[in-house]
Order: sequence, then C-alpha cells, then structure tokens
Amino acid sequence: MAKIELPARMEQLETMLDFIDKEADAAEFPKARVSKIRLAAEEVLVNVFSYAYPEKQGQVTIICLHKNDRFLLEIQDRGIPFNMLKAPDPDISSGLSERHLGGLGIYFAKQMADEARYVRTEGVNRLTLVFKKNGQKLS
Amino acid sequence: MKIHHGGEKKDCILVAVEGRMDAVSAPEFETFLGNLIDEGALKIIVDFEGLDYISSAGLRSVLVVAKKIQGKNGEILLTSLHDTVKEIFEISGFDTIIPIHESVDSALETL
Repeated sequence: MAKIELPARMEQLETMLDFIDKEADAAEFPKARVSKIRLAAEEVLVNVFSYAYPEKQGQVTIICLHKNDRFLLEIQDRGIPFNMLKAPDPDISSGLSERHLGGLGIYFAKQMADEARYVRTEGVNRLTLVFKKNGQKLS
Repeated sequence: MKIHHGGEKKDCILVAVEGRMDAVSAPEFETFLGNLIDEGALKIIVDFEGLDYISSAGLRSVLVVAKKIQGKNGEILLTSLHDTVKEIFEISGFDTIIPIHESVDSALETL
C-alpha cells in the first residue's frame, strides 16, 4: 500500500497524479489502463479541490493498493459531506451552442473505473475506485 | 503540455498541441487559442497528433474556444487524435459537436 497526503490545491495535482501513475505502473498495469486511472483520479481530485473545502484549506489523502489484477484508488478528504457518485450524468447529446459541461468529469471517472464506492465515516469522505488490470470497460 | 504555432495554410492557422491537456494546462490552451481568435483568426486547425491525454478540463477549454470562434462565424477543426483521446471525445459526445479529421491534410481538403 502506498499513501500520500497533500494540500487540496490545484498546484498539487500533477504531483498527486504522478504518484498514482507510478503506483499503477509498478502494479504492471498496461499503459492504456494507467492513463484511464490518471483520468479518473484527475476528475475526482479536481472536484475535491473545487468543492470539499469552500471556506478553508484542507488536505487530500490518496491511497493506492494493488491486489492480484486489481488496482484500488482511495481518495479521502475531510471537507463537506459529498457523494459525487450521486451527481446526475451530463447531457452528452446537446449541440455546441447549448452544451454545458457540469458533471462531465465525474461521469468520466465513473466510466473509467470498474467499480466506484463512496462512504463517509468519522468525518471523512472516502471515494474508492477499483480498476481491473484488463478491465472490460473502455480498454 | 506544449503548444506550437504551425503557420498558415489556405487562410487557416495551424496549431499543434503536445503532451497532456489537464486541469493545470488547459487554461494555457484556452488563452493561446483565444488570443488567435481575438487577433482575427476565423479558421483554426488544431493538430492533436502529439496529445496523449485529455481530461474534462481539456474538453471544457476546447468547448470554450469552439464557441468563441463560432460566435464570429469561424470554425475550429481537430485532427490526428490518438485512440485514448478520441475515446474521451466519443464518450462525452464531443465528436458530434466539433469536427474531427484524420489528418491536417484531410482537414484542409474540407475548407
């Protein structure tokens, strides 16, 4: 298991994503899968940066766990309770002029992961995404 | 991410993007293209041959630029998308709202 904790700020995004990339690489996930893990992670982290701590600075904890053919990514924050998995899916059929992008990032994260779970315990939002090494989804 | 101005062909400005377009780098893309449009560009071809990653923040910037140029009756064309990038355009439905071509040459032929 590998873990890092950093301030929930955009300046930390690349450091966090590179950390996750490295762990997924070490787990011998194919490059295309690693790219999908990075994408899902970016979308969740950007959401946390934007909404978890509206009035104060806070931390994000990232935990990577690799077991057999599964890579488990857990992202934790102590911000306002929020289950982003329950956000409505975006309308992906509208044209250019009426296109809005709300919810697209979380939709991507859900599309990329083979499983997604959310729990809030002890004041912590815990979002877990599971990726299979040779996932059926969009691989 | 790197952005290069690739000159002009058939009244069309060529721009090449390399690397990753994510929440950190996408604003740079938006500013670069936004400036070109402010300077009067009406047709822009963006070559994504060197782009190996795009997130929703990148798509958001592409959309902002596309809307801006459309507002001036211009157009933006994307070319040479890698499979991983193309897939993101497909699952978001963006492939139906922004013209995507196989290569810069095939994009130029449509103009």
